[in-house]
Amino acid sequence: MITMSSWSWYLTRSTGIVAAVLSVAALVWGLFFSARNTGTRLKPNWWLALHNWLGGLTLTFIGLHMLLSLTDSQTGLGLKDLFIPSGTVGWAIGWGVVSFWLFALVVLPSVARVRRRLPRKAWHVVHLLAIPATVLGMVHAFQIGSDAAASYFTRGLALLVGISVYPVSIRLIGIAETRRRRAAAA
Amino acid sequence: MSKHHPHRSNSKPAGKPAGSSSKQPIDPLLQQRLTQLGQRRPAGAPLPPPAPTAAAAGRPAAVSSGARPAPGSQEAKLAAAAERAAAARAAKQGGAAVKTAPNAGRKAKPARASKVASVAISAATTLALAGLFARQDTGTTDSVILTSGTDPLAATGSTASTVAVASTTTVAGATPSSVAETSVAETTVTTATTVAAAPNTIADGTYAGVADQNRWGVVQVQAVFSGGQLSDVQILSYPDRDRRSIRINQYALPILIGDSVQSGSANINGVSGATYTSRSYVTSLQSAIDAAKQASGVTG
Repeated sequence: MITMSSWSWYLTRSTGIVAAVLSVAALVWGLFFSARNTGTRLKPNWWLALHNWLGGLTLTFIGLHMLLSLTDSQTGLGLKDLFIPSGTVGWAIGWGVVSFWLFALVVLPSVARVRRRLPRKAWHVVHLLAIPATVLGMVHAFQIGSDAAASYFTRGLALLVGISVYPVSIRLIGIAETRRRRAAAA
Repeated sequence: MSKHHPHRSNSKPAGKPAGSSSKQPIDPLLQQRLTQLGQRRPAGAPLPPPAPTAAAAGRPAAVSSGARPAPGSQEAKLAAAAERAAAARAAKQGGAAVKTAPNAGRKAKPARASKVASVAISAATTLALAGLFARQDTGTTDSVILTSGTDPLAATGSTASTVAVASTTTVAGATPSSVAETSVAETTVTTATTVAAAPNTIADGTYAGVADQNRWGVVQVQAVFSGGQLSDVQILSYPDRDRRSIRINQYALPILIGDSVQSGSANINGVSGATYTSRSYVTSLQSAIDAAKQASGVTG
């Protein structure tokens, strides 16, 4: 018998999975953009606009995920548990809360236009928090255990990691090359 | 993302005294850019007068300014593009002369279609996954393999670790009706004491706790004592009405058993996501420990 609580649970899981995929997509878009590897067919402003949009969408789905887990009575989670990471409800949930705050720290300044007032370096550091946020989101998904044992979860995770490898590599190579060029010029 | 700021770049070297020993070497790209800028406008030459705005002139700025741009230059290309855009718009609106927007040819909201598509795909995927989970729960068989280290239902006498899930799990010493209906069921000692107990220690044996009813089902455990210590906890009954409950308990019960055996008591933390089971487990285990103490004549 599928109850209302069951539907909350299914939707909690599905919004979590979609948020994880969106976070990786936003990260990949951002890496392509920062590595100037955006090709000639689509303009850089298209990449940037979509990167910003995907970041916002990730936070929206994380919010939905949290709201649904609150409505699911069987999880026994309170409002405090969703916003304050602690060991009392287990760090499997705590990592998810940390990930949410990191994403909020990255996305909300962009939405609130605070970003432009920040020094460029400070914003860059804040922006890099998206990487640990994505990783912690994955740790949260893995430790919570609802889908971790399923084959689709492991395959999906492998696919997401595989997709991230190329942009991460070209970004790192780009950074190394810039440093080498600067060192050679000096 | 990073744009050159010619004013900032120019001002930096100028701010330092010539021939200073601490002068930083200029990046070759920056040097090239500075050279280009120097070639474009001779030093000290006056800047050209500002062009009237497009809105005031009713035409693109480059076209309306007095000086005609050199053929092939960027200004000429911009002017040509603006003229083409204006002509296309005029043709579309029946030949009426219209003002050219300052940002003609540039998209005000880039990636709009992709944004809409990303929202649609995300929503569709969420619903599809939820439907898939629901189908998995209703369409699969109810037998479940307990893969954790401790087999929670070892005491029921089921074979190997595969448990056929029934609506109620019955145990020697507890009738089905008492399991299903009660949260105040009497504790039953299921195994006789086989070893003479030392004074003030719990006699070796197995002691069943109360069947605690919560909103998802009944939890009942039995505590196994050996050498006066809690050596194992066996699950007699757990919520198993749907696959979700089974999965949650499959995950939570081994953790609870491990914690209670390690601490030797029912004073343990709950497992996140299995709050009701945790509470019922603690209630049942505490009653089993109390029963063991009572049977052994241990006080305190």
